[in-house]
Amino acid sequence: MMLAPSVIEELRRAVGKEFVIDSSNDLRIFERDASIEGCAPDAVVLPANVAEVSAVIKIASKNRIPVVARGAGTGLSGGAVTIRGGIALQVTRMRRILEIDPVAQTALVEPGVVNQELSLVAATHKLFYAPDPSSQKACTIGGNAAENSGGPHCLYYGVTTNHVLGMEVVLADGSVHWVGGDAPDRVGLDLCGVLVGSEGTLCAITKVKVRLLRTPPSVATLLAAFPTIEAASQAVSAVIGHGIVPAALEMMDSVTVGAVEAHYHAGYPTDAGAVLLVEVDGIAESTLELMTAIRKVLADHHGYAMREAQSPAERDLLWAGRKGAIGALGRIKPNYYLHDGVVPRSRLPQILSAVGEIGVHYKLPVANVFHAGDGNLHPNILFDLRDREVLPQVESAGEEMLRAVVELGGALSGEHGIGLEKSAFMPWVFSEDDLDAMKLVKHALDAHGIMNPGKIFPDPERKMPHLAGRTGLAIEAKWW
Amino acid sequence: MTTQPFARLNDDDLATCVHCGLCLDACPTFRQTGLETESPRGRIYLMTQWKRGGLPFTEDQARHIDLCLGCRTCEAVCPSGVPYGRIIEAGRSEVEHIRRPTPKRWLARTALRQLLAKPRRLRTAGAVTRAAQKVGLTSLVRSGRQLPALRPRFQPPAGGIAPAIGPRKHRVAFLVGCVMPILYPQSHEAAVKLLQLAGCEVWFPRAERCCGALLAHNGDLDGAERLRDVNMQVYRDSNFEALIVDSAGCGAHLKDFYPELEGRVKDLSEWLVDVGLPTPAGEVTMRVTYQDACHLAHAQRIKKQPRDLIRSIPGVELVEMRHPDICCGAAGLYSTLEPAMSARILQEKLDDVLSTRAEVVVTGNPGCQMQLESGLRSRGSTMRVEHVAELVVRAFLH
Amino acid sequence: MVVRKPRGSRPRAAEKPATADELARRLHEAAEAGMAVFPVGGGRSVEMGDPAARDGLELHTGTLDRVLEHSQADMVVSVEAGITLEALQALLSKSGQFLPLDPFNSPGHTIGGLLASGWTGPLRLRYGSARDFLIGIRVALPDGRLASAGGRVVKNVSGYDLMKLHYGAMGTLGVIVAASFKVFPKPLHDATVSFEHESMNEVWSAADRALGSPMAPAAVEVFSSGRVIARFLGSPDATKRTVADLGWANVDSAVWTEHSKSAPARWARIAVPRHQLRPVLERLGPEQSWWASAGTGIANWTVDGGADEVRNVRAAAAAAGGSLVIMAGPSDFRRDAGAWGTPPATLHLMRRLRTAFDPNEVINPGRFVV
Repeated sequence: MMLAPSVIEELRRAVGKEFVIDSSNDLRIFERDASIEGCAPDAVVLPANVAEVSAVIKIASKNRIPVVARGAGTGLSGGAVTIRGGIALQVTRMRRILEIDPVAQTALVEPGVVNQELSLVAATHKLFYAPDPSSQKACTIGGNAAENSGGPHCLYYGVTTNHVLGMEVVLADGSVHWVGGDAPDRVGLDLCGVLVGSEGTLCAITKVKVRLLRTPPSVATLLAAFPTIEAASQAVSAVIGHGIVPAALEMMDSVTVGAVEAHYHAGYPTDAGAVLLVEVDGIAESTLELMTAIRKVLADHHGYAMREAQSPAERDLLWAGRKGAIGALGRIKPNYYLHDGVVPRSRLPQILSAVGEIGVHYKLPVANVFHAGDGNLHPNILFDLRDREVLPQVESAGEEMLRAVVELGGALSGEHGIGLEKSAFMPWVFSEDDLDAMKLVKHALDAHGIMNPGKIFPDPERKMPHLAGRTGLAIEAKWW
Repeated sequence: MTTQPFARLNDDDLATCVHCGLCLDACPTFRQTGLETESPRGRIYLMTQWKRGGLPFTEDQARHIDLCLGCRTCEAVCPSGVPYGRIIEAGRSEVEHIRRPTPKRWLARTALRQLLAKPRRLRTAGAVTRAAQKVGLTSLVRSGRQLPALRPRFQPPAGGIAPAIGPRKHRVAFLVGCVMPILYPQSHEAAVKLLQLAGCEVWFPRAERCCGALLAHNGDLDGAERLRDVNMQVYRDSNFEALIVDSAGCGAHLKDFYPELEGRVKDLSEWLVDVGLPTPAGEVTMRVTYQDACHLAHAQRIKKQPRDLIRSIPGVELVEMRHPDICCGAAGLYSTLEPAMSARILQEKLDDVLSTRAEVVVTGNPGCQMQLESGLRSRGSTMRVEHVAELVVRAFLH
Repeated sequence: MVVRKPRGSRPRAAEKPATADELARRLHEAAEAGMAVFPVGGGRSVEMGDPAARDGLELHTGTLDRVLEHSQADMVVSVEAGITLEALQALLSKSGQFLPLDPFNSPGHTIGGLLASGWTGPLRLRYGSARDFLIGIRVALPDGRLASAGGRVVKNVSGYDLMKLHYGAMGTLGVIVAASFKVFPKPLHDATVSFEHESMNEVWSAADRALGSPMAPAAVEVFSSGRVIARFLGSPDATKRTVADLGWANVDSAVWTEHSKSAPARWARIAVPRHQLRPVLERLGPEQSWWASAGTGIANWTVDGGADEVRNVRAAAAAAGGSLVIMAGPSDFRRDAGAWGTPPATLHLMRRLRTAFDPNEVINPGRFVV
């Protein structure tokens, strides 16, 4: 669908000529995010402020053109992909940190502010912003809020929604609203709560007010090896069963450790079946006590080669291995397909063995690197996109893994979002009535369906993946 | 000569990009424009489409390749190890082969080739001025910036050897290069002095030419190969432990483009930290900040050593800016060829530099030095710019 | 600290469905018949909100009190809405776990009531509100359907976060019939200390000192009587050092149970940005009685005066960026003062949602701001 020249002209008037891209060749460059599927927008529009965002959405609304907000395009579920064409609303020009209030411990930022940039600035006040997705060097706070992003430290601190106090949003009719606020309780429905994580299907975000936390005075980071994934999984449950919720509790399997060690030389034990990275923070007495207790629990569960970071530089190195793990897998194959299903923590051994079997069945290497404390998997199916034959195999393997997650009582996504890639699987966990209730919200706020269409809800127009037709595991059948 | 389109672009290199986007905010042009098309990921995607026939080559889209600074900050943050430097040089080279050059680009390339191929053409200060005019460097003057005040050209000692001070522990070769001896002779002098203090006998190969970095970075890989052949004849059979380079762009090029020298090319700071300097006698009371030269920090991954050297001087206080490893917008000829984008990047850099309230901003590359000097002057700042060697040598001049 | 029997605005018909399905069916039948429905759990917050606009049927959830699943290792619990907080805590306690909810006017709250009313207590400082650890929800809709959202894993972004919408919505988008929570391990060590002074200046400074401790406190309650109590939860050495540094008097942790019984007959909740709490309370004047969570920005005020006084204090809270909501009081008092105050600017959006879920305003008509 091409946009009418008059629409392009209107958009140019709204944001300025040079901030509308409509050359078809250039639009192709915007067709993907960090997931696999792509589709080019009909125009890329770069507003500078909320008034321009509102003007653009009004034009879209009048002409019934899809609007898909886009930050850095680091999302892993296709949230920023313009699958029905339309306008890619690129918010990357809106990247000012408007205010940091060290007394109230809040920050007000524009949506294009990069997650790590906020942390850098907050650090000058001895504060930090807790959600730390692995893409934090590039991903934007607007995107984080839209997707309700997580990260390793969300085990203790909670995910994005627990840190967003309020937002300025533009709805599908172009109207501008403040939702949420600084006060702990507010009168009325929690619009902010439902808009965070709505994946751009209800609103465009133009400002975000977030909570900042005091930087803990002491941090301790421990790397421990385990002979098998099962042993490491049991150790994870045991740590938490002991009443300790670490700041982060991450697992990497042997495939990942091999790739990471080759790239970062962080001293990860390459003979291990799995490696855990455990971090606690607080005052010095607390980290010392907790780490001593954790070491004991890990040792009781066959942990060995335990190594505690002795300096901030060593801690950074240990984390560099974890945060760069997915990229380092590029050493094995140039592409990865990554789901982020969540299982109840106690089911980790079962799901990991199921994931392994699926990999073997499809003859595809699989590397696991994930937030073990949350039960939030990240099985990376490794392949080479240039091999055209392999892609359907990869997608099938991914589906089967997600299916296994659901059969163990899990969820489709812990932090990446449903987006495009998992929308067809929603009936696995939600009944028609459940989905209808969610659609009530969608229709109440976006009657014409122009905001990020084709996401979250199963799309009858799209080809159904081969397992997607299966139902019967909806939450009600399983456990209510 | 190849007939296959985009033959220089290696498909395996392109395939290493997993499209994760972690490079985006490291890219100065993305930070300025917020556009995928002006990001490393976008450029790789574009070149991949060209290579695989997904998009036709157009001059409009070639602009995205032009706008890349080649700073390689993206390469340093890339978890997948994408060889972006190699990809963009190949891409540039293809672009230059395919499109009709603009008069400015044609002039720049021709002038560069002519000037850099024959060292005597660069021998006088007059030649520099002419060169500046030929390659369009005068546009710097028009935009309120200037070349540094010209000093007498750097002269290697007679006999081509500077002896070690104290017992001789190492024998090293020194890259005199093309631009440094004319624009920043004092950096070379300081560098040589430090090498001598570190017990190095410094050899200046007479027949050495420009390393070819400026040509390669601007898409003239053939010209760069010719210079490499000339230089390798000089280096191949000579006896030296290391080839010391005090200009980051040259160091990066030598490390990437001269496989025969593998492991022997060393940045000055890298080498000095390795072999050790004597304890300085003097104190330098000064607040300084450090600007990572892209070709040092990203292409060579050297960030720690220059800082270690700076911190080793008694009295010096090193204040980091927020983004010391983001490009200043100089990028070789970039500031000439893309003055508008270069100026935008420079302004952001100047804000960051000035916020440190340092007396001196220290760096390790002539291009950065020039760019920062003219920028600071245009802001009316008295902050000075020095090469790492110049700062460090002060501690030994008492 | 008086424990009172729940008082509805008027006598109504009441039913006690045995299952969620039956509740949904009765809700639907009532809706079809144009009858209003008032969900009741433990009746601890029946005086919250404006008096109902019309009479109708009370649907009591007390029979829906099953624990659907407690996965000890996963630290997740799913329960029906009618279970009391105390019953749930007793169960969790057996495995060394707990749900960090300590609402006032305890005991007797049901989980469904707590979620619908959004009541919190002192521990909110450390653990947040139920909004932060509610991971799944199931509600009965006026059309008779049962709809779920979320799940039973601790991290989940599948679909819209309807938990947030139902939390604190006073049932206006559906009657909560079941919920899943992330639960927490009981802290390794639990210490409570107290500070008293006749000068409120000293009391507020003491609260600031506790809040500024390197180890963050789990609760800091300030009382208009001139007292602060602070609670520290964590590893034993760290807790002991923090408490020693503060130098206050040790108190038995039973003080918190006693505190949770607080329930003045006329009671308002003031919620303002944290740093605005003190100035707003200082405007109340020294003769007033209140207690406040200094670290979160919530105060509970015992209203002695009438509607005018409520309006004055509400204006101060609003000027500070917050709100004043009446938690309990006779219906004429609530009608005069208005339970919620000036509706938020986004009321029209909230009404759109209300209309979508409950088009005929069957549930709690007139009670909520929406």
